Amino acid sequence: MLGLLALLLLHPLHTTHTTVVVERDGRFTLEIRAFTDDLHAAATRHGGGATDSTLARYVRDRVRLIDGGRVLPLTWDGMAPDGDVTRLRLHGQFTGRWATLQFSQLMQTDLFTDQVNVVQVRQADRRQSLLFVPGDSPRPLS
Amino acid sequence: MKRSWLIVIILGLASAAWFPARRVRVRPALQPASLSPAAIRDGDIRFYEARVARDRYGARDRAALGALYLARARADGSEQDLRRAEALAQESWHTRHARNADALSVLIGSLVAQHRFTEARAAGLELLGTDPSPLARATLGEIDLELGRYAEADSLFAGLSVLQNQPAIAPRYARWLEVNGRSGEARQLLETTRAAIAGSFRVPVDQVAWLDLRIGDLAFRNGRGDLAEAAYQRGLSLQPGDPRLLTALAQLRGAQGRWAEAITLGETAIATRFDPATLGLLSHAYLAAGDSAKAAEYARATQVAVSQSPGGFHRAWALFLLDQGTQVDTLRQRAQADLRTRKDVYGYDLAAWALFRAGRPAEAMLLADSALLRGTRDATLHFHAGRIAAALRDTARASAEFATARAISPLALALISGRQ
Repeated sequence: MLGLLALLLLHPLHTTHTTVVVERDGRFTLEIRAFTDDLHAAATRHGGGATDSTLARYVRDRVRLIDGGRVLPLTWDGMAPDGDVTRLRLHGQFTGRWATLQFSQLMQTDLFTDQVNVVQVRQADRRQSLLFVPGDSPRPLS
Repeated sequence: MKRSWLIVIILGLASAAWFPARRVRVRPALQPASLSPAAIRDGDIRFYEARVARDRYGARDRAALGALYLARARADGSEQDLRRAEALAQESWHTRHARNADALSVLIGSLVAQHRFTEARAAGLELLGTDPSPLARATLGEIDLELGRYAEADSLFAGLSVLQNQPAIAPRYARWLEVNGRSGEARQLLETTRAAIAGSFRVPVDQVAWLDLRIGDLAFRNGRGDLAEAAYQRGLSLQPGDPRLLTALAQLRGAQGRWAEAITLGETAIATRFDPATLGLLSHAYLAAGDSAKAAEYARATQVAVSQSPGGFHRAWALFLLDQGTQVDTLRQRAQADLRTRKDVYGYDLAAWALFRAGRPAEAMLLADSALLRGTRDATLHFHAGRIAAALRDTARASAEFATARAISPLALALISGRQ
């Protein structure tokens, strides 16, 4: 065992990671990674179990891309387990201007007061990171 | 493969911590050689889960499964897996003591990961009683270092000096050297170990990359930015995208004043692994780069992320919050409570810094002096002592401590002082 035990300290952290990729034609895809147990607990609390449809409903309620005040519809592309993590995929389309876009990611903030959701947005050469904690409002994409 | 080797190698993988694991999912039709280590590990977990379900009393399978959960816990940051590992190790040990050092090794790993050092030490003593091997002694020595039981650690490691080059012993021996102010020897030992194991088919590349991380850190702490850069880049060539190496390189860039690069590296790291310490570094980087709004966003997220951490106390996060001037009184209490069980140099340093931030420099100075007793070469310890001395208007002492910090590592000093 080469690792030093004490350098591998674990602390329970409540977090998700979302990658948003926006194409030039306005199509965007989301991939959300969340710890499976936390995700299921949040979705169950939201109503129902942890099925595809309940998770999709939960994500649409907590994750929003807003174009000029209008919440853009998100199409569910499914989920895949990856160890103790679940990957969720969605996509959508926006037709407005980048300057009017806002994003909000509040998954699991209804369950954990220490929840931090990391969002990384990519569009052409633009890269932007946003961090959402409980109570945060939607944030503009710069 | 012998079960005990499986345990050693699995536990060895524990140093590669990824959250969440960015691994490609492989369809069964692909060649086995194309499977990622994470996919192989998940397959092994399913295999042993089935065996454990069939056999209510199998100690070896429980130990093996516990080791796999522990490795996955470190890779994915899963607390659930950590608890599974501990539970399985306990079951295995209670089922059979004889020839079951593997179960104790898993138990120790899971307890240390939860900061339960006193319990880990008790398990370490049992391990030594069962299996008085050099590795068992080195493991106990490592726990004693974390608890600040330096006399015991000195005794254990003194008896291991002729074996210090053994790959499993070397990182622990190097840690003991480092704590005792022999950082140059520590780094040389790790370099020698790395050269000996690199390319070995039994050693996963992430283990070699982990050694590069440690070598780089030692170099950085001792002012050798060139050697730190080389080590980090070497590690990244083996493990591209390794979040720990990226964060370490981001820290080096920050110390060099290359803040835009530090931000890019840090952002890339948190895309793979969420670490509040990286968030804190990014907060500092954004502030230095002139983006105070983004700096505040990251600082706030760091505070939220660590606001509910029960049980064990994460010192790096606490230092960041103290430097932000937030939660000072809570952190002071926690640091002083932590010192009751962990009387090591970094426990003293953190408690001293918390007392200083709480406006109690006289008490802080006593603890800062304790932090310096072992002669550990760390600019942070001397910087903290210097600030405390300055608050007590002991300008001679303050100047001396700042000079020592600068002599040890101008790089590290630049980073620490910039956070204040």
